[in-house]
Amino acid sequence: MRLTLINGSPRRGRSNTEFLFKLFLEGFESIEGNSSEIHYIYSKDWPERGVEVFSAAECVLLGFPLYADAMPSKVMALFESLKPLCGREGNPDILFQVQSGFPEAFHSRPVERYLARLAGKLGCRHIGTLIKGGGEGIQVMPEKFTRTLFENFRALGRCLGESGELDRALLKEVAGPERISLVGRMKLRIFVAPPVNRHFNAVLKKNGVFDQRFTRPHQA
Amino acid sequence: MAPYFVTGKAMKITIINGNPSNAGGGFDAFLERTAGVLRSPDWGGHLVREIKLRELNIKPCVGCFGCWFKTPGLCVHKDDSAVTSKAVVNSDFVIHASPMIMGFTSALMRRAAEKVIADLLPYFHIIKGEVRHKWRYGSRAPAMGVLLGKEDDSDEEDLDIVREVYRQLALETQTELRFVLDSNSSVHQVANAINAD
Repeated sequence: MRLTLINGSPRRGRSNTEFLFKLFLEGFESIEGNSSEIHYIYSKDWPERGVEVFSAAECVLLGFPLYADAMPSKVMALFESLKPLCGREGNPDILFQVQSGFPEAFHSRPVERYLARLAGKLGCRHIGTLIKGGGEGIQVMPEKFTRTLFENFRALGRCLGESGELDRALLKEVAGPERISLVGRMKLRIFVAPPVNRHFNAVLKKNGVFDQRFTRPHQA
Repeated sequence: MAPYFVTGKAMKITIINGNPSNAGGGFDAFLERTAGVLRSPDWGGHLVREIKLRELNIKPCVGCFGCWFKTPGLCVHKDDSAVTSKAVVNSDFVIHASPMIMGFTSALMRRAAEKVIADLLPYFHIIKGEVRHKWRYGSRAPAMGVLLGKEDDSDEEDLDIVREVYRQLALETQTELRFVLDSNSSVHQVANAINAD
């Protein structure tokens, strides 16, 4: 199978979307005969070129970060450009990947629902959506925190490469918790939020704008 | 339809029009009629401002977080996003209006929506058991409503998906989503949904 990956992150090659793509591909390409190509929506000739890429694809994996509770604007621009392809014979199979900085998966569920609907409008076989909450720090976290996640992404890639499907149990596992339990929230409040917020303050100080952190530049 | 709202305080209402083109004219005309009713004394005498996004230059968010860490509250890229931000943060009510394209609000609308990050604070908070960022401009963003122009194949499921996304967006800014209506509704129904408190 040839997998056409479409990266919908403005951070392109250094994005978390790309990082997860690479893990997925390690699994996918471990199956003989499988190959892939990656395209970037945040490129000069997109979304126009997206129509051509999409039309020629056998199977598309479209990934993006969650922006304002849904897809980034240029990803939506691609969806708009695909309108003439709705119901066309020979549209590719499609799967999606949505990653967000929020630790809970529920933030990404409304857009997941949209993506399933979109696949239906296009007449694409919808393979599924990989949701990944808490994705902002994955590239810099200590290995012990990410080992299972990385293995699961590789396993999902292998699964697609072998069967053309995604394993539902693995999808659930990579998504992480839908909501955080009371105990989890306490841990988050005590152990996670303070160092993260301290890091934010350090960056603000480094940039010389710490005292402006709560500023309201547009208040009348 | 009789006005639900008879006396009370006039509100500052901003209509963000995410219609990428006025071809056909129906959607923009619906918004103009809505604004007209909301301005009329019987329906609240509100101060209504419409912002046509297609007349502004709003660049896509590139996820640089400059609006949090370099120029707090301001997009570091030179564009017109300050125009929408200024209008929104100083409003009492915001109507997000867009024709549906491929079952969702327009890409133009998304471009304005994703710039909301500048109006949030970077710090993580747990609000009502959920991880959120706080609204930069006080305890909550203005209440919001959504007006959609349906496509030929739009159905309840499409509208409900948009409703769910905007409900999240409202929670994210600690405010409430008052309604999601489509342009087949009467403008008076829209006005009542805004005036109902």
